[in-house]
Amino acid sequence: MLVCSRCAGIYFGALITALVLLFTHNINIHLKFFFLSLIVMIIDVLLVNFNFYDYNKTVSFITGSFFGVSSFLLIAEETENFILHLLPKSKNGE
Amino acid sequence: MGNKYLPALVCGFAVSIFTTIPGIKSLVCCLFLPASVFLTITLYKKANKIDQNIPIGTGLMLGFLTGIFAAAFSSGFDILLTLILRSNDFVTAMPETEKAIRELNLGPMIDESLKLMKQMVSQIQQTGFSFFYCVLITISNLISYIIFGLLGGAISTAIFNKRNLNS
Repeated sequence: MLVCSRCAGIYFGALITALVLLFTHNINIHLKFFFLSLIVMIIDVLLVNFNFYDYNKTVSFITGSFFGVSSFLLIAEETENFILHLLPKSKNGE
Repeated sequence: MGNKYLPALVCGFAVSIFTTIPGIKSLVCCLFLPASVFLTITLYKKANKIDQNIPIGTGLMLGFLTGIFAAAFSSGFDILLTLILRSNDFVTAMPETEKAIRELNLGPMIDESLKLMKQMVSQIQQTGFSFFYCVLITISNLISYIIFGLLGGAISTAIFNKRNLNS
């Protein structure tokens, strides 16, 4: 299935982050980093949509991968916290 | 465990209105829907007076529900507008779609697909209604909106819980 370069960037960023996270256990992302990547991507989307400049694959890919990295880190951190929160409960249950 | 349905219904309806506006309807799926899930979780927390962290499962469930409601309302609006106008994006983009599909050279099965698509276009132009189009648009909206709703739910939960942690 074909996807646009922005989406490809998001998937690529998420994939790279997932691979990096295999070798590190320290997941910590500041919310400012996430919002910054989100704002940068939204600005790119809006400027292209309202014809301020032409669609550029490289710019879209970079902004997309930036967002992919930050959103994957955020979700991974939350999932890790959730699992860590569940662990004592399962121990007590045993 | 509070009521999850009302915030999801309100936000799903709100985001589906954007799907009727030309120009920004392409942003609904990847921008407005996750934002509406964020709003759903905000409303859910306020309605149930939840100050502590919410489980990621609850966030995903709220995103899932918002996606379902948004898809249902969005499909309803699309079908209603098609019925009134006897035209929609699918009809106007048909010549370009046909050209693009033919360029892919996917073999003889493409002729059958194009025949079905042309039949849908003809039905819409004549009566404003095509049962197959309704099914197609509903399923398509359900799949994409649920995926982006879940994604929005996961991200929004992470944001809320991280804010709690920071404060």
